[in-house]
Amino acid sequence: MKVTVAKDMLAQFFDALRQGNADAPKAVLDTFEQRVRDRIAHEPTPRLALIGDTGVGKSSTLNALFNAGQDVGHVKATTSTEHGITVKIGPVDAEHGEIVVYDMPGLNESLATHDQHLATYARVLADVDVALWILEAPNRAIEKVQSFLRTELRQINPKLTDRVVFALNKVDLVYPGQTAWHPLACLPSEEQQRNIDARIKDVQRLVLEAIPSWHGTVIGYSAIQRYNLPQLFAVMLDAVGKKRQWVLAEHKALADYFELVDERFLPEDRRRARPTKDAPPNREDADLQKALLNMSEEDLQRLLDERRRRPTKI
Amino acid sequence: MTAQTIYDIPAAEQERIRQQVLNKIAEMDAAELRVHRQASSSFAEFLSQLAYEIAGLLGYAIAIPLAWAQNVVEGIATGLEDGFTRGMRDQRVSPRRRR
Repeated sequence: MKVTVAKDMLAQFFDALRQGNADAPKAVLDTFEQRVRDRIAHEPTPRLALIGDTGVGKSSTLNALFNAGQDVGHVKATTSTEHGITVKIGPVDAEHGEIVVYDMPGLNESLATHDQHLATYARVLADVDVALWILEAPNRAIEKVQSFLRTELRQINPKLTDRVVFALNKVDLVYPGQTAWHPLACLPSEEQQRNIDARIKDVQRLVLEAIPSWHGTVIGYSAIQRYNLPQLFAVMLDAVGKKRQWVLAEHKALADYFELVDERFLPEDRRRARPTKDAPPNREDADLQKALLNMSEEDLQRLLDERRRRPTKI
Repeated sequence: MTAQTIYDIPAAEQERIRQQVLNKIAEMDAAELRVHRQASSSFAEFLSQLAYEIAGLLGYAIAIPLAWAQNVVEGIATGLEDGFTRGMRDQRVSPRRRR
């Protein structure tokens, strides 16, 4: 059972409507239903801004939230450069339909002045449903962000800054580092959790100092470990205007955290169902199986060695 | 962490980790439920307004089921919660490969 808000509620709505208007001509109700469905189908797709320096994990975050399966900087994006700041805007094909993504550089990658950033950010924030400002959780050097928040961002209309979500990616690399991340449970160690909480509090404090009217929450997550994705999405949805929340929620397709947890740590009802003989084959699995069967022993061994090392890909 | 397999972990530690995983599952479920409620409330409001607008344009006195929206949102708060974790389990996805 796939839980989609719009589809299920729409069916219930039309049932209730027809029951409540039993005397109305069928043609009228059919026209009404068709116009409602058309209008819903033409509701603009979600517009999402991703702000962050190269390597913070914008692409992997997008994939983890919407199962987009492709890089943010793809060929269909248009590039707009104003005040020396390049913003790539383009549709991204996600699991549940298209999303328009504004890919924006972080403050460390641009020679533009803070005023120039301010002008661009104000314009983008007015266009999008939500902006996700991604910072690296292990990186304590956020002076530029801090300075920008204190001096420039607070000048932007508070209604727009409420659309910004500050998210700390790569919490799995927070001190003491990746070795502290439990490989079977996919959870931080106790020491790591304390440090993650401290980082979140730091950033939250900095944002509130700069923008006292900001109502958001700073969230820590890991796109690669698929950790805290529901929590991240919930915080993003809080930042979206109420009228558009359902549109963003319809596109949610979170990467499966439980796939990375040893199933012996999972309760019975959370273990992924094994495919049955009658289940239709998953095409990607079939392609992968075929590729593995055709591999030489040498190549297979090399692949296994690489998997064991588990390099962190951002 | 130096343990390579679950068998390297003492039973008491396994149980402690299991409890941590359960706590994390509860957090995730709470977040998912919050998203579902917000989305449902948002859609109910959107649909109600849209229905009035289109009924007006059609020029026919269509009775819009106002109670529907309230019942649906309340249903989410009560009945849906029971089946919610089943639904959330079923809609987990594996990440697509990069094209």
